[in-house]
Amino acid sequence: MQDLMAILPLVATGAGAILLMLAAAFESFRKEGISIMGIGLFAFAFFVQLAVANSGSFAPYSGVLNGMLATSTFTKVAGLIILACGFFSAIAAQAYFTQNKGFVLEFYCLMLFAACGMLLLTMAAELITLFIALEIMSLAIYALVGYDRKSVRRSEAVLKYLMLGAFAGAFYIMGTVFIYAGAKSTSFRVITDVIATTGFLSNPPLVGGAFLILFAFLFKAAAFPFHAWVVDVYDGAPLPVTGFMATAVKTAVFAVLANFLMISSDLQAAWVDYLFYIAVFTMFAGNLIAIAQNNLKRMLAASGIVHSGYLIIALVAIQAKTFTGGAMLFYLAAYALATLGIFAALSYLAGEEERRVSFDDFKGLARVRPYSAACISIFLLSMAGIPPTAGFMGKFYIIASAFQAGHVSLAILGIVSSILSMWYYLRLIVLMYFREPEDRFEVAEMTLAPLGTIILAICVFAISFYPVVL
Amino acid sequence: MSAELVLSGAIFIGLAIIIPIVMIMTVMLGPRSDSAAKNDPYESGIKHVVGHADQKFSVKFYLLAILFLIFDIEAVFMYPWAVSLRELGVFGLIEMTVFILLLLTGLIYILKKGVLNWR
Repeated sequence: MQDLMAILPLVATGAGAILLMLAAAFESFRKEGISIMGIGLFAFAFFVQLAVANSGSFAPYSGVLNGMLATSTFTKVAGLIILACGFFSAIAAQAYFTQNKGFVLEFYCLMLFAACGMLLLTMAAELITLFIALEIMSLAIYALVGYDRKSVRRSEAVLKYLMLGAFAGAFYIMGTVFIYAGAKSTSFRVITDVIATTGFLSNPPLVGGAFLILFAFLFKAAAFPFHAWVVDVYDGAPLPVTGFMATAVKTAVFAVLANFLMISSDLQAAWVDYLFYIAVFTMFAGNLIAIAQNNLKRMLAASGIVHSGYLIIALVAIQAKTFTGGAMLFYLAAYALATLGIFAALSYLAGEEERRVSFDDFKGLARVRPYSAACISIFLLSMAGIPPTAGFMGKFYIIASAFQAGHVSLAILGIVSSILSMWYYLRLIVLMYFREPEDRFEVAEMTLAPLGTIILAICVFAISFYPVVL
Repeated sequence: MSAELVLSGAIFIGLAIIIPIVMIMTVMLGPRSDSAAKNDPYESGIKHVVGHADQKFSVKFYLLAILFLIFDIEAVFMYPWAVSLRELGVFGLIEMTVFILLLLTGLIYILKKGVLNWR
């Protein structure tokens, strides 16, 4: 029974996805109906997850389905963030498709399948389950990126993503094989016991396996040596899908990365030094790429790399004994709010076939559409980390946790990177407020997206007052 | 443990060095002859190979192959389940029912989408 309770959000999401798939097959449902159903199903799954998270004890429960899955407060909150990301991306998609052609009825179904894979990914406590979850998520995302086969840019993006993603998947499987060779099991609990008895560094297959698996995760998380695909893929994907990828996928991947590192404090200790350098290089490489961009979507993609860098700081700073993941989840929530807000605003401002994407296209937005400009400014300030927004609190918690763990130089480099990132966030605000408008920014129809944007903007302030136990 | 690892590693590295050396030596030292007959795909007999090897196939072949694979795996999955049905009990029966129902929705979807209409 407790098993069923633990996987109830998963069942709700999966059943919703199948329902939408069948609805897409029958002719009686059309675009509007499917959109509303998609948004509603995400909201339903969110409330199921909320009910599950609030019921029962907060103690970790590691025995779901014979130890295939494990739930804890960390996974529950990560699931909430993922489903909220899905909900707001669905709202953005509804606005996006009033102005853009090429809607396929399976769009929302694929989003729900991706969310299903992500929920499974956060809960996975066994390497094969984890791989299946990773593939459910990735395959749905590939299809979402390239659903419009007639567009060359979409096809380019999906080809790059698919090829590199397949490589990452192959790395992951090879790592699983090594770990199985070293630990004689794929279950996290058994691997923990094996490391506790034999030690981590004295067991070569485990070292190699963990190395390959972390490679695959760092690829998905867009960390430094594997960040090159991000800008092109995020640029090529449709706006709501980019928002969904940047937030929900990142939440799921960082949740599973933390879960994997938490297998053993030996494993985490062996990787701390490398993660330190990966964090620093990710932040600064992302900043350098972002500063050079003239396209808003590419800038947001590059800033996504920078935010991955901050999250890796949180990974460096976690201690296996007292892991709650609070700082990481708060940062993910704050980042998700701001990014989803910008993408929701862009999906109704960008116009037909994403005409307005460069910085110059948003000149003088504040004169013509003051509320949208204000919301975008709030999101950008939150990303840059200006108090009293959620982004500031997120950075504060992460850097405080780095100080607590004794990584003073990492904390200082994080602050430096945060200051560097002001350059490209504030540039857009300057353009929106201090230049003359050249465009009328007409909006086709009334949609839910402006409302969603305003809700997100309020949330940016609201959650910064919600304290987190480090 | 590590002695075997080193040994197997040494064998692979040795092979990786020896095989290219042998291949390069063959090219450098061996006799070479080129003629039209030798460079034909089939050295004797068939003069004209029909069509190009990289011609386009209709996508419906791939679709059908993938669908076959899915329902094939389903059948394979049912064998171990059937063998251990008594031990799994009602729980196993319910799980398999859910699995088959999920595949059934997939079948309904592809039927409605007209994937199986051979046009």
